[in-house]
Amino acid sequence: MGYLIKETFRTISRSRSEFFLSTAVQGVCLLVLALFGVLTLNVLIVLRTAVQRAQVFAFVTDEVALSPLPLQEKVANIAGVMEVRFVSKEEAFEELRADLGTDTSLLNALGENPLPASLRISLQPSYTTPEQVQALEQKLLLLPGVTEVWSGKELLSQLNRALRTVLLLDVIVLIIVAISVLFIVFQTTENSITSRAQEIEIMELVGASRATVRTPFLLEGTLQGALGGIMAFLLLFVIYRVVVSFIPPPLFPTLLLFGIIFSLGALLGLSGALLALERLPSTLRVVPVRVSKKSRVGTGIG
Amino acid sequence: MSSNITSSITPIVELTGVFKYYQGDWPALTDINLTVYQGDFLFLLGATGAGKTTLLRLLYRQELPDLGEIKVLGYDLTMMKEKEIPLLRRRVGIIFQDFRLLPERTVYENLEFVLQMVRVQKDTIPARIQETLNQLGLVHKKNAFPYELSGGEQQKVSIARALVKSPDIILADEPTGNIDPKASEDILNILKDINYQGTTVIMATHDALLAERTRRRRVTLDAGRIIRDEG
Repeated sequence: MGYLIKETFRTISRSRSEFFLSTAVQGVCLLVLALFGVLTLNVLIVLRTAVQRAQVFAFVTDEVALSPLPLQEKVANIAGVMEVRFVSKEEAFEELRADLGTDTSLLNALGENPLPASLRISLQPSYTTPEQVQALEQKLLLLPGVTEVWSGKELLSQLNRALRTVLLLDVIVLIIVAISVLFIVFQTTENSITSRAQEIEIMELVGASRATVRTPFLLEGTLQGALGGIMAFLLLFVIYRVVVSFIPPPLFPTLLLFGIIFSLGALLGLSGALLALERLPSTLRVVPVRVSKKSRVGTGIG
Repeated sequence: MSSNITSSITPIVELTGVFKYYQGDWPALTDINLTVYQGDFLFLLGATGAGKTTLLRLLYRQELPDLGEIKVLGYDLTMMKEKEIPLLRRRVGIIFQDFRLLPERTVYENLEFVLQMVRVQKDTIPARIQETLNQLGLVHKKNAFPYELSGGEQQKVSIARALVKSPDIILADEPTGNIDPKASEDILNILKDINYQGTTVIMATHDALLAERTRRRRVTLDAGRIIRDEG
């Protein structure tokens, strides 16, 4: 194996400019993927948090507001409800005052507190689809004492749509990058095979096994992929350091990202080399033109 | 191994009813029946296109016959699996007319390459190479690149490459075809020496006079058929 590794580096050094150029292109492809990955991760977290924090407001009559506990218990027993909190008229008014801050002109214009008491209902994470929220809304409206329900399901629906779009974009980028990297490694390995045709033939004629002949190419492809991955990660890290000087630091799981980009690069490199090796001309695979002796005799040749 | 004088009667190569066609039905070899015994030195004679190279290529399984049976060193070449081919080739030394040395490697590295490929124990490699280079008088050229050598020297390196893995049989395809008469004589003497030490040698050549002088078995091919087997 030591000699095969030496052979791999000998091949690389023989065509180092092509090798490093291919590695650089591969690194850029993987960087695009990594950037999308980090961006998606952060968008996903923001969107998921927003969805999970979504609350349903059930406004109640003044009678219920005097004794909200029975209704509160009924609502808490509905499937998908995680937590129910009663907010009195006064508390709602205070919240509004806090939201408006120093601008008290609106509150002064209102005069009397017009805000109704309500139940603020937090949903379980698995119950945040627009359909589930719609169903909950209908159940709440059937309860005596509930005058109106606001669920923000349009907003939820938009958030969920955004989540799906981001994931779809990710899959598309992943496919494009994977094909690009495979193609680059395929091309590099194929060139390497062509330039070493004589060496390969001699290897086989002196008795090298198929595995011995193929190993240096597989090592070269994997190494190229892995180096591309390392390059992509380093560039990504530089971009991250620049970005955090302008905006609050996004989520950046360094080790996990390195592991994924490195492994993906190596795996794609290995796969590209394997594909190219399918076209390796081999003296070990000779297929005869089988003909019957009878037919030969019939032609008068035999 | 036994020497040529005490040649054993073990068949090392057996071809039975071998036919080989190229491009559909052009007959390269027709009904070849040939047995070569351990320790033999055999010349394959014939003009260009007579089928000598095709016959040799069949023996190291670079070609398959369209009909017939071939046995080399106990392997049935028409039935053998792909993974067995390297095992056969490790026991066969091949010498080409155009040398086929690796141009970017020194003489030493060309030989080392072979031993590494056939997985010879690493610590024995330098000694084996040294011994082979000694035998062929190439020690002083061990760090030279092929382009720094004459044709005759390159062919000696090619023989060294075949010999370094201690093969049971050497197949030489026109080894004197690209070199001058003096160097040809040297190459032939080296092959005879190798044969005296017990290695079977099959040498293809169009030089009938060279073969006659050595008084060894001569098999003559013409248009893919054996027309003479003498000596």
